[in-house]
Amino acid sequence: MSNTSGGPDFVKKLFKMLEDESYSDIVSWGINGDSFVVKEIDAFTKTILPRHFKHSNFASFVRQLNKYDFHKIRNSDDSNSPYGEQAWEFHHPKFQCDKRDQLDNIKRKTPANQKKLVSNTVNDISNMTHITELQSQVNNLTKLQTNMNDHLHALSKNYHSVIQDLINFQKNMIAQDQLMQNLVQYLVNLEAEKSGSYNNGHHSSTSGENMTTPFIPSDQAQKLINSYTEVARASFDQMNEISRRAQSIHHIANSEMNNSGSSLSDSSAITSNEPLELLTLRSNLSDDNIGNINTSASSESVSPKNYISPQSISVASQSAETINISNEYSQNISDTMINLQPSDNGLTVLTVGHLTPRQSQSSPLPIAISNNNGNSSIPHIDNTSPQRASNTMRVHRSTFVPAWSVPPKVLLVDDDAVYQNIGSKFLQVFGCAIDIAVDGISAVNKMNFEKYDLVLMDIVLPNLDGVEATTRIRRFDPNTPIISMTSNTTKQECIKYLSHGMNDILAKPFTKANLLSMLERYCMHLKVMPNFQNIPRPLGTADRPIATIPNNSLISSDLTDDNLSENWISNSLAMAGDNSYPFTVLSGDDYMQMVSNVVNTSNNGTRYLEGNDDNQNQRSRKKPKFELVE
Amino acid sequence: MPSTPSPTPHSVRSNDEERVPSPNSDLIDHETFDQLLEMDDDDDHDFSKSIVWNYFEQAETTFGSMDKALEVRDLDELSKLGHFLKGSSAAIGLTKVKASCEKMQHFGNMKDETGTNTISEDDAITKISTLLEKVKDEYKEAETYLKNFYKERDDS
Repeated sequence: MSNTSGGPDFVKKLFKMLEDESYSDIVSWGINGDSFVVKEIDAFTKTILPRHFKHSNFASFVRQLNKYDFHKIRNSDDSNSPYGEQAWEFHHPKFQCDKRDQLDNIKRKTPANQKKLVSNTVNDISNMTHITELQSQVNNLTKLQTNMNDHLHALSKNYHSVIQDLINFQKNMIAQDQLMQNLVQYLVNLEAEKSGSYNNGHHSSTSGENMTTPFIPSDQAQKLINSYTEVARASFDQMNEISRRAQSIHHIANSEMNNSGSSLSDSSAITSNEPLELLTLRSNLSDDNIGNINTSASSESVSPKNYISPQSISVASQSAETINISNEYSQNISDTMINLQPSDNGLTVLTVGHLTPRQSQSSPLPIAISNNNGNSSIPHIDNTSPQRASNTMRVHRSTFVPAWSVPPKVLLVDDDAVYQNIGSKFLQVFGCAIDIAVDGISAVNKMNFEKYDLVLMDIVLPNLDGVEATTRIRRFDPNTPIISMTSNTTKQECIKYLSHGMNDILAKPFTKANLLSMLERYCMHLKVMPNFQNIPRPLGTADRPIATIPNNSLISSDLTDDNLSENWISNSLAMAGDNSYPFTVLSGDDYMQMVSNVVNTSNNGTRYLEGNDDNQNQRSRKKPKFELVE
Repeated sequence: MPSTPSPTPHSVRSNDEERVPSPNSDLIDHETFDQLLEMDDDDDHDFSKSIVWNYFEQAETTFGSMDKALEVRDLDELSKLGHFLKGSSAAIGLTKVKASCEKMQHFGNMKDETGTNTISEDDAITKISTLLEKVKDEYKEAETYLKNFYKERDDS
């Protein structure tokens, strides 16, 4: 509209108003025709403005003029305006008396305004981006915070479940220990009965030597043993579960560290430090325990009524000969279902559980198992006794089991039937559960489905050789020890095996002794402690300083004890971090406590626990009972 | 009080008594073989016998495979078969057979009998042909010996 009729409405109205000569006293063109002058503001405001602009507001009129880029001409100096002091003169370069056609070119100062507006917008936009940035930062932080909260929540949840497991486990242990207690008590009673009957029954053993007490695996005892095994197994599984969970905590913590970037670095540093400290703590504690336990074995002033006769132990340590326990002790020596005779430097073999007489004999027979001068791992029959013909019993071989707390599960990988059979037989004799794979692929598959404690891997195999199979297994199972079973033991080959993730080399053809030493090395964690008490003991008594053990308490019930929890967790974490076994049997002083309690002699309650640093224990002391095998 | 019956005397045969008489000390490594015998029950030799018979079966199959591989001059296969039989022979303690199998393993790899120097393919084939007959003889000798051994045990 403004384009067709010569300029904006306001300008046209202005022009039209100025054309009207009747207003010349009030408003008119300037002298030069290039400006207009409002001479009488009052009159202009009251009469003209309402007529032409439909309002009576001079200021508003001036604002509008400004919008169209009219400028008020100031009166220069002191010289009076030609139109009077009150006059307002407005000028626009294109607003001239005789140039109506130029009105079109008079525009609102929109461009300038818009520029301003645009620049404002630009500012706004940059502000906006800034705000958005801040907002997103806030969002990120909130998200991070949420993540952190979630993480903390997960951690505390895990922590709680771990604690819960610990409590459950402790319960199992109590059950286990009570069973043991029952068992021991039962056997003690049995023995009391037995020794009584020996005295009354004109026993032929007059020589005063080779007194070994008979053991009948009666139904009741058998039941006790079986249920004990069950409980032990359950505890073991639970411990595995615990360490698995702890491992997953560890994983979460790790991934969190990686994901959350620098803002979390502080907390991650803390997280990563903690296991280290705990680990150190733990190793200190276990050192202490080892020392104390070792000394307990040499403590000679323990009552003869103890479960395992200390006399037999001290006799054994003085003499490498097999022990003939003299008859005068026989009344006091508890019947031991594990009858063992340690020798100086050899393996101590003990049998647990089913003992079957060689021939069908209804009478109980004394068992004497000894170790042959320590250089052979093959247990054999005590034949030093003059009465051996009448007093010894042939124990079926399958009962010569190293003292596993849980039978190791071994995967034997070999395509050669001869090795399959020999290996199986040996492993069976050693008390292992055996599985066989005949080639590399089935070995990998079996490893995928089952958890084994040890893998014996032949190298030359059909389909997939042992090295390649190990490489594949290591992708999902970094821990299970894999032993290379090979006739090719050149240095170069051995390096190759080890570099592909195998843990050790068992030269073929292997001997029984070699195989056993492998088993013992890599299934150490499943062994009953060799130096401690020579009887099967519960799996999971806690690893902690002796000083905290209350004397004469059967099972200390301080579950919430910080030390205890920390140690447990540190064990698991340490294990997860060290690529080592998922399970470590902890040392147990409570157990000793329990045994002494059961036997209930008056003076030995604290004896076991007294530090008594004999030199003869140094050797065994250096060897930790439970190693974290790397 | 009830009186416990006294233990009935019975004799114990120690493992040491079960040593294999050794006419040919280089035929059998007694340490290895005794180890097998030790795993037997007292009254029979079922276990070790089953191992040995198992070995016989496996060895004869392997000799068959060796013959075939030699026909088609498959040195690689011959080396593998040599390795295989070497292993099981060693497990039983058949020293001679084991040593020959090890040589076959080397020849199959076109190496001399110590496994150090390279030999030609033709040379390897020739050597293996001779060796295969020799190892079969050694095996027969061991088989006869072991079968006699178990026959004596069963009879006694």
